[in-house]
Amino acid sequence: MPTRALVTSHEQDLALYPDVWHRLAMVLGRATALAFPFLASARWVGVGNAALVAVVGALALMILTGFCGQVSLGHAAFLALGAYTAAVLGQKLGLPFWLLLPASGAVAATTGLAVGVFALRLKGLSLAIVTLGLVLLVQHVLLSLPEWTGGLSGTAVPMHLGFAGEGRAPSFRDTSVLGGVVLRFEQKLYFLFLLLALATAQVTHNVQRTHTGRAMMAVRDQDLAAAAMGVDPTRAKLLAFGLSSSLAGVAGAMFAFQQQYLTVEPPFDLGMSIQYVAMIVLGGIGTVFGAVAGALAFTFLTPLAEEVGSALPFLDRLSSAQQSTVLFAAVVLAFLVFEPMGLFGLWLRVKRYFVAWPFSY
Amino acid sequence: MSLLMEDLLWAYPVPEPEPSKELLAAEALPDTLPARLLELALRHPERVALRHKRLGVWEELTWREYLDGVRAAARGLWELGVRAGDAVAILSDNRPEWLFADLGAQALGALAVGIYQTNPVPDVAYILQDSRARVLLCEDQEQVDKAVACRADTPGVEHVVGFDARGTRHVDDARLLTWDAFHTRGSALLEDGWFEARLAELAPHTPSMVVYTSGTTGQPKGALLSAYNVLDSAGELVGMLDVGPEDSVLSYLPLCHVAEKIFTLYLPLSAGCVVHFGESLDTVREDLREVSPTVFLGVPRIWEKMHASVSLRMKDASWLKRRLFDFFTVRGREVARRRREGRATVADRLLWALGDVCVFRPLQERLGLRRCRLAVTGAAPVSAELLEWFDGVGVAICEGYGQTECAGVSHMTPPGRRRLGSVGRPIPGVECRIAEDGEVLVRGSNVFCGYLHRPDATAETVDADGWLHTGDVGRVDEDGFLFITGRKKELLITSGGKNLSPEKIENALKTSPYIKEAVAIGDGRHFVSALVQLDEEAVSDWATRQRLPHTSYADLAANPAVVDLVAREVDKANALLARVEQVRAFRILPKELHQDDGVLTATQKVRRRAVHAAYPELIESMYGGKSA
Repeated sequence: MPTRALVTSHEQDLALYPDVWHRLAMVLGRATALAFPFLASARWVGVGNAALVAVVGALALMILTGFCGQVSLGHAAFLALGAYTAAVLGQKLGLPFWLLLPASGAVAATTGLAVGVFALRLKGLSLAIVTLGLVLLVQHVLLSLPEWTGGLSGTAVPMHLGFAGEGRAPSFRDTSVLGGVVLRFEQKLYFLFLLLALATAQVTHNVQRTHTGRAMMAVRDQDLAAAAMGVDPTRAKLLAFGLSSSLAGVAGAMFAFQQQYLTVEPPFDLGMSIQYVAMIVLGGIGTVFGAVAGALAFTFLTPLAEEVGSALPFLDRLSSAQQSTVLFAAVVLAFLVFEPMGLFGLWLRVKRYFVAWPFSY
Repeated sequence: MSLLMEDLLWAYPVPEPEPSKELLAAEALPDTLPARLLELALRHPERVALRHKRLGVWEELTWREYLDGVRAAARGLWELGVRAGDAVAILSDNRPEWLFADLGAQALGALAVGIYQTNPVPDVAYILQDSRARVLLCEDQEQVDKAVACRADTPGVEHVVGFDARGTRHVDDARLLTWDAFHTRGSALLEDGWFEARLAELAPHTPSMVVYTSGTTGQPKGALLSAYNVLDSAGELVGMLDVGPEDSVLSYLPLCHVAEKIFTLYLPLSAGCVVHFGESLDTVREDLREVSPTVFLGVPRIWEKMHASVSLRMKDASWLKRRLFDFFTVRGREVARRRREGRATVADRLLWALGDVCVFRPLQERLGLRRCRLAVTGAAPVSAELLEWFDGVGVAICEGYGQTECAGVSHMTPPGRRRLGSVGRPIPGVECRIAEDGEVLVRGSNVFCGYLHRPDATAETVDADGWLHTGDVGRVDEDGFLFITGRKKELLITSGGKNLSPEKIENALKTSPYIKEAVAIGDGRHFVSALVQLDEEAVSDWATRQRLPHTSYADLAANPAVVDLVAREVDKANALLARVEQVRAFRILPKELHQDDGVLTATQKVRRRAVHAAYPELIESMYGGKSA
């Protein structure tokens, strides 16, 4: 790495893209992201959309578990609340989709804060069990209100552009033409999700860099020591719960928009919660990079494994879903054994190898 | 972005604007350091002059702010009663306030005296008494405490100013004043033209600085230097080394020493380069890497440490990195030797280019020497072996030579015409001659004005013809390159009658990364022996690799495996020495040498006699047993 310019002001130290290399990476990354829906087939754009939903969801969990150290198995509950808020408010009140996103966040955040108050006294495994109970509770509530949620048979999720009155309202799902370019639904959805994912990543990154995030990390590493240093653990934990659940609610609404029709179980079960935990572990716990990389890797690996699986010996006898599960389990296990810091750790290792050249540290 | 703009401005020279009336007036002032500053501040008021790292950020000071600081300090000192000929002492690490106080005192015609901040209380008291300082400027609470502790012995000190007020609020001493109060009062009282009027009264040939010699053989003496002494040679250096305003310097060696004064004060005030002050002495390595100065002065100890840390860290590097490093440093050394002799081939150049990409460039980046155009070593003898190693990784170190008594420099290696082992040729305006007894004599504009309050010592050092007796023994080759062979007063004369230079023997030993200090012994003995101080970091790392349990320095020093290690290192060093110089016996010092024990000077030079006096049994055990 070439000699860095001298830091002569605090602003320079705060810059998100401090040098040419960061700026180059940012421009290249955004260009790839923008070109993707035009280059990929409809199926892969769909996978991309699912990946962006996962990015927002994983970032949300990263704040709670990665930064604040509160192990939560209740992530699916917050996504479910967000998704059903979007569906119900869209169906019953005809609210436009852009209003549904913050509404979902608000409902999930309220629940998150309420749970957070009870969770303050709990740590580690006990907290995991309590949040697991939350998933079951939310499932039960959603199923026992069939006049709102459609119960077992589920509900459709409209995406009105404006406030829908009588008759058919214009929908986000209609194909539109923008300056001569035809944009199909999944492409439009992709750009919407990309914007949301980028904004979430920015927010999470800034949370991590500011005193709020540092307080959370202090609580994660040693809550007694944090309290002794003047950090308020109650405040930090509640903030983490609130922020995390509101972002999870947004992710839930995004999930609902993509699915178009919702049922409670699947997908909102313990499996989903565990998937999100796996994502942030695979990516690298405690980092924004980890959440994003984990979510992308997780979502893309499954269809990729389906494509590759049939070509591998022994695996070709299994169904495609089983193939992807087996391959996926192997990848996650390998990471946990060889690089517990996840994809982020891998990246750090590569970066350090060259940054420290010709030394090793 | 701003950097780019500046680059463009450098590429296209803008015509100089018409000099203003103030500038013409400043140019007409007597040529002193503060007058140089005034001129630079009028010429380039908004250009950066100093950078100081505080709380992780390099705060910038322009030439105008630099001048404002000096003006306020001058006025403040005047207010405290300082007049021409008085002494003002500064007891601090390098920082901008050092320069403000130093130049502020000089602007009044007073003498600026630097005191090493590592000095224990009695040494501080000695210099305060000897210089008859009236005002003492201290860095922080630690230094203020020293001033308070020696209050009874230093009745001449009327005022004490503390740069950093933290921890000094409850100090019970009426003399104490904070820098903020001192500075604010100075700026408030400052009238237009007052500072310029002071400068007009100065005479360039009157002493304006006192630099204390390190005192390896006795009590330190204060050498009086005038603006003429330092600026004349600095001007020659600027031309010879081609230093300009785009150059940057890291100020980290003690500013009380004349060598750092050259690079922090004399050169920047002559050429307008930017001076950087790091965070503290402990962060020199990081500061150096961040600044990556274009001009860098290192004392041999610094270069030795750098070399040792590279060898140490390479041991931990991965197989590929280690292989590349070993291959290219060995080849690089051969290529560098052929290049110095002017017979480098095309293949050599190709090999060098490859090595540059794979090893040399990144290594220089890590060390903070990537941008360094001019690496200088001085202030103590350095081993040619070390210089050759640095040459082999693309860092061409130029050796300089001089005494405090000749404003720090009389000889300099011209870049591009280096001869390893030689300290260079006399700088223009300086004559050099070898006396009959081999002593190096120097004469020129840089020879000092005399020792403070010590005319007897002055007469011993400078003879009637103006020749400065350096006390070093050396020879000059046909091209005028000077080779120093030793100190006149410190030669070892063995019982066989051989004259040996202890420095040469000690430097050969110190080439080993495991040996930090060595003291050669052999005066009146029938063979040479040495006391060795381990480099604790390197030896402890070695012991860890050997899976030797170890704790402190004392524990390592007593470990038989470490003794074997040092024995092997001594054998290696002996290969570099002539037969009579070879070290036949050694003992490892049971304790690290430290300034507080009186065995090191403030510049970390060994006081050989003090070491001899401190370890008589250890020395006798080498000769008494007669076993090697």
